[in-house]
Order: sequence, then C-alpha cells, then structure tokens
Amino acid sequence: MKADKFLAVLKSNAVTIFFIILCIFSTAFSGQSATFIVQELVSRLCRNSVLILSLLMPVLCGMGLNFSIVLGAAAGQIGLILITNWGIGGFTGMLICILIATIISVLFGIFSGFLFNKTVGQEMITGIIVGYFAKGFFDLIFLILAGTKIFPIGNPELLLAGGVGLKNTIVFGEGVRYVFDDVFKLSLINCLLYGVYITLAITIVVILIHKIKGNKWKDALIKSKTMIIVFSCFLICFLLVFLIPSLFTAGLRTDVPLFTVLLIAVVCLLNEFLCKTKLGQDIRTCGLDMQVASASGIKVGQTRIIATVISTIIAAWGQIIFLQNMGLVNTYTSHEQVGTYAVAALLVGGASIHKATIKQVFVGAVLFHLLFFTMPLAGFNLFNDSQIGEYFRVFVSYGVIAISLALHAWENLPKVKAKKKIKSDVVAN
Amino acid sequence: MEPKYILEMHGICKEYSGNPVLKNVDLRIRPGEILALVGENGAGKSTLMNILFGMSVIHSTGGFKGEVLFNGEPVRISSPLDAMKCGIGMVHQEFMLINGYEISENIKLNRENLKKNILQKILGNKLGILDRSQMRSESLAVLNELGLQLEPSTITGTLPVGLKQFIEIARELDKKNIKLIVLDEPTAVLTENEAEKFLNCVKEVSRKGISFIFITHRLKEVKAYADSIVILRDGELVGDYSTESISIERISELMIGRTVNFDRSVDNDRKFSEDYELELKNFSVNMPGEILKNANLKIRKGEILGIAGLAGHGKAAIANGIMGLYPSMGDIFLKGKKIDETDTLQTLLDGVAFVSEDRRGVGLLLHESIETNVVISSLRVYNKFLRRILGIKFYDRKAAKNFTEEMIKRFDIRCTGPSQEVGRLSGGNQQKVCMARAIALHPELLLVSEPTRGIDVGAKKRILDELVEMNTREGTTIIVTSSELAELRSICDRIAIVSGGEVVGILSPFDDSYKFGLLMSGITDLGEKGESDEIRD
Amino acid sequence: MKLGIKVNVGISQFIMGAFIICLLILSSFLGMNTPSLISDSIVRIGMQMIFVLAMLPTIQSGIGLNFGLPLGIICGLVGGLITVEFNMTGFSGLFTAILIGIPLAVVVGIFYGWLLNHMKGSEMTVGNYLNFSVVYLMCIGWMILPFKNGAIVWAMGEGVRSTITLDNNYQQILDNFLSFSIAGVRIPLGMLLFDIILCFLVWMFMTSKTGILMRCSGGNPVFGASLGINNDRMRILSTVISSVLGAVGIIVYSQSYGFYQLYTAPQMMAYPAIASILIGGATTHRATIINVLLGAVLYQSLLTIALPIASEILSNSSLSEILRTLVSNGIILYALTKMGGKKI
Repeated sequence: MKADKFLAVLKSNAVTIFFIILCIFSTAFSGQSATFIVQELVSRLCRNSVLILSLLMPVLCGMGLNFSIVLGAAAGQIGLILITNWGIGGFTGMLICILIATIISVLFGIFSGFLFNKTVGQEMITGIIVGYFAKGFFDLIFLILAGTKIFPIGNPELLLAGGVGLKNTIVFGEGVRYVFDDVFKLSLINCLLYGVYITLAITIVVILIHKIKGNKWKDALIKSKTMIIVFSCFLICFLLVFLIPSLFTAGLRTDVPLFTVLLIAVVCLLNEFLCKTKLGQDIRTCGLDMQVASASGIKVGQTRIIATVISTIIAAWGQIIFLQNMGLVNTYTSHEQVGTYAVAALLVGGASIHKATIKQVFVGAVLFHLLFFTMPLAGFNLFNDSQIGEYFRVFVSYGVIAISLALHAWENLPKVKAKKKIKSDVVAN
Repeated sequence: MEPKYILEMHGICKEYSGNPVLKNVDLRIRPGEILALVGENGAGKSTLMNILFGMSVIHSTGGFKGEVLFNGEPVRISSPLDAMKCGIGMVHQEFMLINGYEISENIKLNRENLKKNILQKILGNKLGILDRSQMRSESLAVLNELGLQLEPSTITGTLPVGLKQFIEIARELDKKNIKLIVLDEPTAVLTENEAEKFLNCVKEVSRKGISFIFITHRLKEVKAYADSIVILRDGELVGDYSTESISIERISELMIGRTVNFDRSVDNDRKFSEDYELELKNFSVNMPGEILKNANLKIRKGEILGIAGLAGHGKAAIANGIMGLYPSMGDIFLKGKKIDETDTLQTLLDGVAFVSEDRRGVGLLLHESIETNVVISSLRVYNKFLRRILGIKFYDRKAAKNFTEEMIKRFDIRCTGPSQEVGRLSGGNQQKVCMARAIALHPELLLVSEPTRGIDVGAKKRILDELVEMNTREGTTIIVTSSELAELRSICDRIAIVSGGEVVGILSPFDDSYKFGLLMSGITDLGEKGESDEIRD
Repeated sequence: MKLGIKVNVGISQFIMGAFIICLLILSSFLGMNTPSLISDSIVRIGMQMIFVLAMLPTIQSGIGLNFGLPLGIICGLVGGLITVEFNMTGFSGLFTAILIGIPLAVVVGIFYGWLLNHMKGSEMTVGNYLNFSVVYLMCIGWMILPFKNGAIVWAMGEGVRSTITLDNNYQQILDNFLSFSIAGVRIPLGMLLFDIILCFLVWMFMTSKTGILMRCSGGNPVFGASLGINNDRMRILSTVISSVLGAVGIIVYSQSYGFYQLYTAPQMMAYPAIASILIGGATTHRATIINVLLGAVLYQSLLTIALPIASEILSNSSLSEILRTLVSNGIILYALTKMGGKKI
C-alpha cells in the first residue's frame, strides 16, 4: 500500500523531481560558491515571481497557459519608459508608472481576451501568436513612432541618434533603479530567523483560535495544518542555513529586499482573495464546465476576458518589479521571452494546463531559475564551452513546455479505439 | 386571492421558416399540480418549453403567437433570466452539475451567499467573498426538505447517478421564489428504483404548492405520478385529461395517432425464406447517448426491417455498431459468417453500405463536391473511378463525373452541377447524395438511419421510393432506422422496437398503434402477443 | 485532363494582386530599380515555395498548420552538411544532399506524426514548442557532431560554423540552370522549374487514390472511419510528406541563398510559410495547390516589393521587418479566429 502511494506521488511529480535532480547536478558542476548561488537565486526569485503568478488566473478559467502576458510585460515597460522620459522617479513616479501600466494592460487584456473567446480550445497557440504580433506592434511604436509627434519623447537621451526611435537599451535613473529593492534590506539569515518567530506566533494564535471555537486539540492541530507546514519550512531552512557553514556565510552575505518580497506577498494574497470571491468562483466554474456555467447564467465570455485582464495586469506589475531590479530595459527584447520563461517555470513547478497553485509558482521559480543560471556555468566546466549550457537551458525551457502540453493532450484524448473488448459499463448501464 | 392557475399558455403558435411546429396549443397548470407533457420526438414539446423560457432560438426565428399568463398576469419572457425571475426553474435531462464542486456549491451555483467587504462595496458584488458556511447550512436545509441525508460538503462527482438528479431539484427549490419547475425527462438516466424515489420526492414537493411540468416518455410514471396530462402530436394539442380518466393504451394511441392512413408501397404479405442476411447475437454498443445492450436480431434476406424507438434509447446504435464506429461487444453474422465489425473496410467489402443518421456530421464531406461525395465509397472499397497510370491509381474524373450526373438525374438532385459543394445543398438534396453514394456500392445489405429527417416532402417520397426500388429490383436487404413511425409502417415488412437500450419487441406494420406507443415507452406486456413475436430469440 | 482543383480564391487575393502591381508602377515613379525589385521577389518566391507547399499535406489530413516544419528543415541541413563535408559539388552534391535528407525526414516525419496523433486538438501548440526545443537540441548537436572539413567547423573552438558558405559547392546552381533575363528581370528558371515539378508531384499525389482518401479523412475523420480509412496513418503520411518537403525546401533555399544557416536559424522558418499559404486563401483546414502558388507569390512579392517601397517613402529601414512581423502574425491570428471551434 505504502509503496504504491509513494510511487503515485513520484509519478505525479515526475517533472519536478527530474528538475530537482538536474538542478543538483548543474549546481554541483557550476563550481560556484554557495554565497554566489544563494545571492543569485534570491535576487532572481524576487525578480520573476510576480510574472509567474500572473499565469494563475487563466489556468483557473480553463484557458490554459496565457502566453499573451507578453502584452502585460510590454505595458509595464511602457510605463517605465514614460516616467523615465518625464524624469520622475521615487515612489510617486512608480505609482504613476503602475497606474499607466495598469490602464494599458486592461486594454491589452481585453484585446487578447476577446481573441481567446474567438478561438476557444486553441487559446495557447493564439496567445503565442498574439505575443509575436505584439512584438511587431511595439517595435512600430518604439522604433518608428517614438520621438515623432504621435508619441513625443522629450528626453533626447532615450532616443537614437536620428531623433526617432528609442535606444536599444534604456538605463533608468536613480529614482527607478532598485526603487523597491532598496527600501529595506535584511540579511537572509535574519529574515529566516524572524520568519521562524513570526510564523510560530501565527501558528500558535491559529491553533488557539480553533481551540477556542470548541475543537479538540487534535482537530485544532489538523485544521491549522497549512500554518504548521509553513512554520516547519521556515524552521528547516533556518536550521540548514545555521548549521551548514558554507550556507551560513551565504546567509550572512545575502541581502533580501524585503519590500519586494512584501509586494510579491501582496500579489499572492490578491490572488487568494480573488479566488475566494464570487468572481473567483465564476472563473473556476467556467474553467470546469463552460456549458454548465452559461446554463446557470454566468456570462462565460465576460468572465474569461476578466481573467485575461487580471493576468495581464499582474504581468505588467511583474515586469515593473523585474526591470527596477535590472536597472535597465532592452527596449525591443525584454518582454519578448517573458511568456515562455514564466510558463516553463510554472510547469517545472509541477503545474499543468488545468491546475496551478501558488506553491507550484515558487517551487518552479526556484528550480527553473537555479537551472537557468547554473547551466551555462556547468556547461563551461564540463565541456569547456558555456554555449552548450546556454543552448541546453533554452532547450529545457521549450522542452518542458512541449512535454507538459503533450502529456496533457495525451491524457485528454478520448479513447475511442473500437476494439473487441470494451469496458463492462456497456452492459452495466 | 390566489389565481386559479399558476401558468396559462393560450393559443401558442410557432413556425420555423414556414414550417408550423406548434399549432394553437393551450396549457394550464394549477399550483401544486404535476402536469405530464407527452408526445413523440418532434411533437413540439421542447419548442413549447423554449417559449416558456424565452430561449434566444425562439426570438431569433421570429418569436411566437399567443399569450402567456403567469400567476394570472400576462408576462413577456424574453430570456431565461426573465423566466428565472418569475419563478420558473428547469431540471435538465443531462446533468447541469459540476463534478468537482461540493454539493453546496452546485446548489448555490451563480447564487452564492456572499460576505460583505470593502472592495465589494466599491467594485460591485463580484468581489464579495463566498460565505461557505452559510451556503452549506442553507443547502443542508434544502436537502433535508427533500428528505436526503447528505453532507453538503460532499464532492458531487462521488455521488451515484441516482442522487445527482436530486441535487438538481434541490438547486431549483433553493430559489426562494420558485413556483414552477420543468422536469425534462428527469428519469431517463435513472433505474426504476431510483426513478420511483425521485418521483415520490417530486410528489412530496408538489404538496407544498410548487407545480411541475413533467416531460417524459415513460407512460407508467405518467399514470402513477401526474395529476393531469397533456398530449402533443405534430405540434397540435390532441389531449388534455386528468390522469384518472385515461388509460395508458389511450395515451399511447393519442401520441402515435389513431388513424392508420399510410400508403403501402410494398406488398403487404411478402414471404421470405429463412435465410438470414444478418444476425446479431448479444450485440451491445457503447455509443454515447445511444447505448444498446444485448440486442438479438435476425434479418431475413430481401426484407425491409424497420427499427423504431425514441431518441436516446439506442436504436441508432445498431447500424453504427455494425459499421464499427463505436466500441461494441457480441457477435455479428453476415450470411451466416461471423464478421469482425472493427474492420470497417472488410464489412464494406462484404456488401454492407451505411447511410448515417448524422448527415452533416458523419455522412458527408461538406466542403467537397457532390461528385466526390457520391463516388468516394466505391472508390475506397472497389477501386472504382480510378485509372492506373504507371501502376499508380489516379482519380478518373470523367467516369466520376458521368456517374454523378447520372445520379443527379436519377434522384433529381437540385444543384448547379457535379462540382457544387455539398454543404451548400438543402437537407433533402444532401440526403439524396448520401443515398446515391450507397447505391453506387450496389450493396447486399443497406443500413439507412433517419433517411427523411429534416427534409421536405418531395425529397422524402423520392428517397423512400428509391429504397423500395432497390429492395424489389436488386433484392437488397434494408434496415431502416427512423423516428417516423408512419414512414416505417409504409415500407417495412417488420418493425423492431428499441427502448431503454434493448430490443423490446418486433411488430408487424399493421399492428395497432397503441402497441407501438407502449413498446416505445418500455411497457412490454401488451396483453396479447404480437404475431411475429416468435422471431425474437 | 482538366485542372482537377477547386479554385477557392477570393476577391481579397485579387485585390492584393492588383495592389502589388500598383506598387510596382509606383516604384518606378519613385525612381527605384523596378526590374531588380521584381527579380528579388521572383528569387524569394522560388526559395520559399517548397516550404509553403509543405503546409499543404498537413492541412489536408486535418492536422492543420504545420508549426513543426523546422524538424524537416533540420534533416535537410544535416544532409546538406554531409555533402559539404565530403566536398561534393555541382548537381551531384545538391542531389546527394536531397537524397540524404529525405530518409532522415521520413523517419522524423513518422515520429512527429505518431506524436501528433496522440494529441489531437493541440497539434499546433505542441508542434510549435516541439519545434523550438528540437531546434535548440540540435544547437547542441551542431556543436558536437563530428564534422571535420575546414569549411564547416570553426577555425578555432568547437562545433560547426553558424553559416556555411556554398561558394565552392553548389551555390545558386539551380538558380543559374536555364536562367535568363528579360527587360532586366532575371528569371531563375531552374529553381522555378524544380518548384513547379514538386508542386506537380504533390498535386499528382492529391489526385491519386491515397491523396483523395487523405483529404476525406482530414475533412471529416468520422466519415473517414465509416469508410474504413485509418485516419491516424493518413496523418502520419502527411507529416512525412511535409517533413520531406521541408528537407528538400531548405536545400533549394540554401543553394539560392548561398549559405547553410544553422543553429537557431530554422526556429522561425515555419511562420512565413504558414502566413503565405493563409494569404493564398487557405484556412487551417482547407487548402489547395492554387493556395500554395498564389500564397507564395503574394506573400513574397508583398515583402520584397511593398516593404522596400514603404521604407523608401518613410525613409526608415527597420519598417519592413516590423511590417513583416505584423502581416504574417496578423494573418495567422485571423485564420485562428476563423477556425470555428467551440462557441461561447
């Protein structure tokens, strides 16, 4: 029995387990110090999490993985470029930037949602093509229209020599670069320590609340399961970092941008909140059965557009967080691969086309990005050529998408082979 | 004062592009009454209900004539939402439940209880948080009302089929203003035992003053549970009785039509040798929506056998199963030789041809020309309309075109020429194309399903004549599956009745009408045995 | 024999053709070198025609647009590289490349078709990402394959060069074969003839028994099953033909271009071909040889004539690339919305 169950768990998490093994190998062969890896991982995690989170709503709505978050990312980019052009920064600047990005991404979200409603069942390929189409569209705006009267850019530093078209790379000013990251930093080891304290406190409170509500101790413990697991994770992480010397050094030297972490937490909470609302319930209903949803009076088309819009908005915020951490933007390419990488990371975390959770977002983010930066290094160490690792990681991102989609389609294929032996339900009915 | 009737529909007329489907129908239902609405497929029941619910299909086809009074007041129901607001609910034939949801979520679908919060006040109700405990306690109350011992947090998918129907009715009852519930064949998927429990429950609810319109084909249930009964035939009201005053036989007779005025185009008493063209032994087919169980049938060489039955009861599965289009079990003997029905090509080579009931879905290549559609079967099976160049078989356009033109003339297919796209033809002409393709094969056994569904009178006659001609001239054995009983009675030598997935009897076309009606609704004790009963195994 | 093809060419294709002719006239007024524009577009048409043709079988068999075309292209590249490795030149080199490419493409096509049969309904998405990942897997392949010839491998370091020149092998050998010039327009007759022969072969296949049955099985799989057609086998056959055409296509493309482009170059090669056949009037589920011919001509001439003119007028050289992206993806999006699946 137990062995069966273990095998089942192994099978349902095959992708994730495969990547854990791959990550261990790649990290081991990268030849880097723990400090470097932890630092890099923390900064990438903070940078990318929100972008991956943006994929959750469309999955819930049954539209699969939303490759069109490229549009949201571009909206975020437009916001940043505009405030850089106007020379405003700091928190006011960022607020304006977020506002602009949100408005633009609502429009983009409606556009792609409308297209998805026209291509039910083929949303993913549509999303991919929308992404490519959008690239042409943004190139048109940034390269041909920027600097002209239609899209005036006052700051000549942003423009190409001819006065028309944005530069390939735009470096943000002081008020934008690291604006969220630099608010409040704390070393990783302290973060973990405080994390242990805080989660312990919350856990105890939660257990007591359940106890006061009249549950037995055992039931109260079972009902606070989630908090206990979160607490144990923090505790284990802290102990690991505290007890292993190399990690201890890394923990001391790694700064965690707490404000960014807070922003990520807010997006997570927002997502959780939406799931618990009537809107979330409608979205879930559409995802499970469109026919039943519309028979019960839910406006399916509208709900799907709303889900796409939410996804696009979150992607815009995600791109803003990403770029303020980078400190610069590659005008014509930064948004291009956002969809592919976010989708691949989510899938590595164990998500599928019809189910994705916040847990999978973070597991996927850790594994995918760990692999992403160690692979070229490992490739260099093993083959004396970093290019091989470079290619391998792109192969892996595309491959994991292809395999996940293939597995999903495989499962869903109706088994209509007319063979002599059929299921006994013909007779049983 | 309470009005006498909760719902009155007066003089309802409706036509779809010139074809009248409802002619001056009246319907009245008292509070707390269970009214059975019976009629054959296509008698106009669903159109009547679509009018009641203000479905868009009614309005997009020119609306209807007549008057609807709800609670004594004239109402205009222009959308399902209006109907819901009035207090009219519907329990669908197929479950409108989400299996992944718990019971309370399904009962409260799109009417969830919400907790208030700030965002909700600013941005509207959609952002209210679901109040799950409230949902569960209210669901529990409704379930108790129905006498069900179910935990509202149970996942719906884990429930047995029999209970799911209760959830649907619980959902309607939970709507506080509900006054009238339409049950669309609610017992079709239930076993007898489950149906009994369900209908007792309905009876119980009706005592509280909620009315039901009960659409069903099971006449026994009608007799046992309904207070009154309305019978439709060909869009006309042919009976409005209280249940006590009418017998099952009489209901059945009214449904089918009393007068037997069909013109036989085949001799009445043809004799056949006991050579069997086709034999089915314990033949079961798993065709979704049309499941067939353990059918035993013998078809004699040269006869025309009709297969009648209600939609969804499995009659369509026989032909589809023989052609290997759906998984099947049991044995098929063709001229005494056992065949493997999964090898469709071999079946075709053995001289079987098939005209599908799903003309547009299975029967035709809608985007291809008439020519391709007519010749494709013979091309596939017998390598006709091909010529060899350097050993490779190429399409012989000339032969195909000549043959198609011949067929167009023979069937009087109205078209611009052999190269016209089949999708642009009318239904009748499309059916003629299907027939022409089957004839091109010169089959020994022809399986025709719903040959006249949805086509005009002229084409209907042409096709039936053609079937008879094939049978008499070429000696082709024909199995016709059809919902049109009158048409089967005009051409068949025997008619097998399928009900509930089983072959329940074989009748002669000259048997009394009520027998057909009873057999179709699954009542097999006809009092007297039909003369051809011994043919059944 | 009469032309056995149903012409489903709409008014939009005529308008586009007229538009291109107007552009040609405009170009001469702008003082551009019109004959050279025409020559360019004819060469581009010849280079791309076979890729567009490769879309035909998969559309006919019901798979839809073949986003996995680069799988076949890679097979062709392998064949090509082997001929360069052995310093093969002239027609013998060209045809050896094709002869090596074809069996590889057959194997790949069988595998690809088998895979797609297990994921009906998502062929395009899966095909697209399968193609991307295989392109990158081959990137690693190019780095470690044991090629020795100095024309192929980097002078320093590991692996194959990213572009391999065909100067000494068979650069433009088909283009130059039987080529001639009229009024300053150079006609690469050899390449065009080669294209036409392939189109003719595919057309022959489509009018053979198997071809007709393939069309039926793709047009309506249930109908196909009722005739005892093995739909899955038909689909595999179509991916095999498509992959083979992809392999032959890249060799013809490269001889005209003068280089084999490796590594990530094949990644996006399916897109112009897809856009072409759609512009030619095909849909995701219906296409004829006329759509192929017309599509290749319209799309390529639009790019090679309209876009330089637009750049000339707006004096911005990057415009053409942008417009190309917009046009090709726009037309694919349009075709997807017209696919007609479930309705909301």
